[in-house]
Amino acid sequence: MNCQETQHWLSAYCDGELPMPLTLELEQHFGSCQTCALMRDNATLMTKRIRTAAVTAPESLKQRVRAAVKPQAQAARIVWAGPAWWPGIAAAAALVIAAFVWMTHDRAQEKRLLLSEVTDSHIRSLIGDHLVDVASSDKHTVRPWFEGKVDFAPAVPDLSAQGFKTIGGRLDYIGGHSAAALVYQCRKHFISLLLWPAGADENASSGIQSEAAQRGYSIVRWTAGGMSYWAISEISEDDLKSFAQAFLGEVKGVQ
Amino acid sequence: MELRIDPFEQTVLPHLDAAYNLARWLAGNEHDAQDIVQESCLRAVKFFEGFRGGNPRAWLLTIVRNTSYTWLKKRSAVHALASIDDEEFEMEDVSVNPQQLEMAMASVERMRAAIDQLSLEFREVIVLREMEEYSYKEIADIAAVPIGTVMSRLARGRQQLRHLLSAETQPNGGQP
Repeated sequence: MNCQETQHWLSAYCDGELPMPLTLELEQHFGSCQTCALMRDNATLMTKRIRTAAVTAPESLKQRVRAAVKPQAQAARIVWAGPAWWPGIAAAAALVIAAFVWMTHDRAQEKRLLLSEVTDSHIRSLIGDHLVDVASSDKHTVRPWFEGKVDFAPAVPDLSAQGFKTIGGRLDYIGGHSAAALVYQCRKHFISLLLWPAGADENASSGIQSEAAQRGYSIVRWTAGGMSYWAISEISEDDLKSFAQAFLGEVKGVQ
Repeated sequence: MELRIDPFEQTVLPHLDAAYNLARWLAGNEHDAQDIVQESCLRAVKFFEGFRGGNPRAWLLTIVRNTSYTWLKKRSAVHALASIDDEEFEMEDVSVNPQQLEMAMASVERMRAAIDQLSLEFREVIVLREMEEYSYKEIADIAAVPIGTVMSRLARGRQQLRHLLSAETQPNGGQP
C-alpha cells in the first residue's frame, strides 16, 4: 500500500471500521513510513481533542424537560382511566388475573420478572447516579470488595484489550437474592453484568443465550461455574455477545 | 421494595446530555440547543408508543437531529443545508504543520470555534462519531445516509477541521 492509499483509508482505520486485511496492510505501511505514522498519531490525538469540546446539558434544562414531559406522559395515561366504578371492576379483574397468573405460574413468568428486575437494576444505576459502589478498574480492588457482602467471589477479568473497560462493581438484589453487579464500559456505553449462584434446577453451565430486548436494552445470559450471569446494555446484541464471549474466555483462562 | 419509574423517564431522560450536545453543535449555539432539546423531548413523548425497542439514545438523537434541521430551516439558515458535493474533494493535506495543529487543538475554545465552522454535514458526523462514539452503521441510521457517505464525510470533515485549526494559527490562512 502506498502513502496516498493509506491516507485515503486513515480516517476509517482510526475508527476501527476497516476490514481486517485492509487494517493489516495499513499497519504494515505505518511500520515502514514515518510520515503516515505521524499522520495516524495526529488523527488519534485530534479524536481525543474533539471529545473534550463536547458539552453537557445544564441542570436547569434537565429540570425543565422533566417538568415539561410529566404532564404529557400523564395525559397519555389518563386516557386509560374509566368511570367511577372502574376501580371495582379493576379490582375484580385483578383478582381474576392473579388467579390466572397463579395457575399458570411457570418458568416463563419467572423469567419475565427476572428480566424486568435485571433491566430495572441497570436503569436505576444509570439514572440514580449510582453506577457503582466501588469504582475501580483494578480487579484486585473490585473482587475483594464483594467479600462479606455476597457469599461468592465474582471473577473480575480485565477485558480492556477486547474493548471493555472495568468501571467497578455494585451490590444488588435480584430475584430474591443478593447479586453482584460488575460494570464495564464499551465505547461510551455501560454494561451491567449481574451474577448470582445458579438455582438447583439450572444447568451448571450453558452457552450464551440472548433474551428479548427490554425497553431498548439488549440482554444476554449464560451459566458458568454454577453461577448465573446476566449482561445488559444499550449496545447491540452482537456487541453484548462479544462481551460475553470475552468474559467467558478470560474467566476460563484464569481458572 | 419497589421503585416506580415512568418508562419514558427511564428510557429517554438518561440521554439528555447526548441530546443537548448534538443540538448544540447542529444549532451552533447553546440557547437554541435548549429549545431544540425541549421540543425534541416533547416529540419523543408523543412518539414513545411507536418506539419498538432498539437503542433509546440513537432513537432520541434521531428526533433531535430532525428537530434541529426543522429549526435551522425555520431560521432560514438554508444556505447551511445546501448539499455538498460528495465527490469533489482531494485527500491530500500533508501541508498542515503538525506542531501548529497540535497547539491549536490544545485549546478547547479554538476546537469549538473550528467545529462550529465546519459544514453542517461534516459537523453532524463528527459529533456523532467523536463525541457520541457511534459506529458508522449507527451514524448512517441517525443521519439517514449510506455508510459509504458516513465514511467519506468523516474523512473530509476531519480534513476540513485540520485546515480550519491550522488556518487559525496562521493569520494568512495557510492555503497554498
